[in-house]
Amino acid sequence: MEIQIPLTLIYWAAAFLPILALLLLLVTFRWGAAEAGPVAWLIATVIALTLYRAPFQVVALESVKGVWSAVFSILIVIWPAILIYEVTREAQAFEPFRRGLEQVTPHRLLQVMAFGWGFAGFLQGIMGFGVPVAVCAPLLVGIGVSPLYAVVITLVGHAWNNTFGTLAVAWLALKEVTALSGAQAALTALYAAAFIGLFNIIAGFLICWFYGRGKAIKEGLPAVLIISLMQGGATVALSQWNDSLNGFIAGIFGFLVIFPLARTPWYRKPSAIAPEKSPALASEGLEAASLSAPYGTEVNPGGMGFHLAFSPYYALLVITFGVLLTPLVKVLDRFAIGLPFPETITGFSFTNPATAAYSPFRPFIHAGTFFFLAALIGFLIFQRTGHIQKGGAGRILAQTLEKTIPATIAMVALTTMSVVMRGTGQANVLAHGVARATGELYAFMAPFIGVLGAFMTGSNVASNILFGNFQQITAQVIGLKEAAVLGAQTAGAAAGNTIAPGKVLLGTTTAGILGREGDVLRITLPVALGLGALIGVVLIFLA
Amino acid sequence: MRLSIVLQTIAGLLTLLAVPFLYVGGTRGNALLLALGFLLFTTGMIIAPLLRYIIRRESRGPLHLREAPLWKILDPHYWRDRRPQGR
Repeated sequence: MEIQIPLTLIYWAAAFLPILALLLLLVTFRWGAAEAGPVAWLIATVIALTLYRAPFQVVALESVKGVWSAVFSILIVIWPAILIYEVTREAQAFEPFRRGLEQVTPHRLLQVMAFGWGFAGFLQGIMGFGVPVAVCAPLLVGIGVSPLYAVVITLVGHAWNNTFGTLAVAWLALKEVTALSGAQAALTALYAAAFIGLFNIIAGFLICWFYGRGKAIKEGLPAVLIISLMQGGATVALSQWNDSLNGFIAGIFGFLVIFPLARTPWYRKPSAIAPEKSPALASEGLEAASLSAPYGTEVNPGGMGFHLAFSPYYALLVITFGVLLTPLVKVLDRFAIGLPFPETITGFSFTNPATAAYSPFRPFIHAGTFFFLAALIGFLIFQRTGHIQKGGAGRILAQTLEKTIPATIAMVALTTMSVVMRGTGQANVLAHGVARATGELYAFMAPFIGVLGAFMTGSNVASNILFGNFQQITAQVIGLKEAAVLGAQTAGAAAGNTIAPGKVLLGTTTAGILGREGDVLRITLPVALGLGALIGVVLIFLA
Repeated sequence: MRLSIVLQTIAGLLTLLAVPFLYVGGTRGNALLLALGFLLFTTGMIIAPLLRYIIRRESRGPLHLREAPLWKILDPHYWRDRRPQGR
């Protein structure tokens, strides 16, 4: 059945209204996501029910899908991620962790790059689901980075690996929805990897800029070039060899190269930028370092070493490798829970196909389960070694609960808003409107469609599923190079992860600045839009 | 636990409680369940922004709900001591 939604300015503007309201409330009025999200959801729902002629049944079922996705895709990571952070904090493990890192390199900028870029990219290579943000933001806070910049740096530093990371699930989704032939897929992968390589090196320079403006770029130049060669260069080279392991291998290369880099004359000495001169290590950061101590207790790590301090994260890596990279994954992958949904149609014949199991949750191979186990193991280790005192479990649970509740409301609202918009045709109207309005200049806008998809769904995978086919058809109609446009779609979606409210929220929650999502977006929004524009300009010449 | 967190917990529970009503109502086409589900869902969703509005309004006076622990708010003396002057 043909979709009959009128592609007029009114319909386009109405579809854009929830996003605009969200951005205004977050960025301009500085509301937290827990307050701005429900308002944006309400606007999207009212527009769906009225202008987009969605029956109550459609909105109800799309809302259920939204809650399901929020709980079993995102919150299931957020909850144990906060738990692992609180366990580490209760044990006062961040201070020895920082001291241990100083032994690897005294250069604070390289330390920041190691966690915010190398380690974040590595984690994105194996896990995704926002895990790099949940892990690396508090680790950066632990080494003295201000919570705001800890979130920003991690968002910028991990996003490049969204397409080919997590065993290339986003890339595979793009291939699936566009049914690319072997040769076309290889060419698209090359374009995508080239755009991601570009994104990667810019991410490195941005981290330096956040740390200490021009002086830090000069100091960090060798590290940026070498790490980017390992991450971005490997992504380009591997794009023609192996889909699934591309991001994983590039992530490992990018992280491991930091250790030999730390022994070079450039980074064997402390940074020439004084901590008080660094915007990323401003007073807020120095105060934040004290976050490693639980409320009302003194900082006294009691001789805890680096490896003991890092034990919850070691446990996380061991569990992840032990499950995801062994044959065990094939057995555990069979256990999946998902709700069936019937086909639904709006008044404009916009159809949501029936599904036997919507977004199935696989409890035994999900990152959330790994996080929970790692938190539990970390707690037991810290308790056995005497670093968690009596009453510690209660304090950990209370702190975790206090942080998770606002995050839960925000996440449910944001995900439900995006699913309602997707399921009632609003997302389609947004993308088609951009294509119609830009015409020949569509090449410039193509990456922004990817950014929009990731912003709305919080996922490179979902963005590619949502807009991959649309981008392909538009490229064919306008006469652009399909492979280049699709490459820009997925690279744009990767960049969009820096502004995805879910990811931002994950960072603000775990870094202890819940409610300051707008402040984060003030920095990452220009980054995502700038990256989109850069890819768009390149695409004009390529496509 | 602070009052805002308690209210947000209730909001979250209301939202989650709405899900079975929305799902069953949506899949079986039951208008009553759908209406009940929407009511619960919307109430749960709207509590957080409403709470922000109340906190902002109250914070202009001497009362700061966000900062006050629940046990203090339940104590009548707390309110008596903080009754705004000249209102």
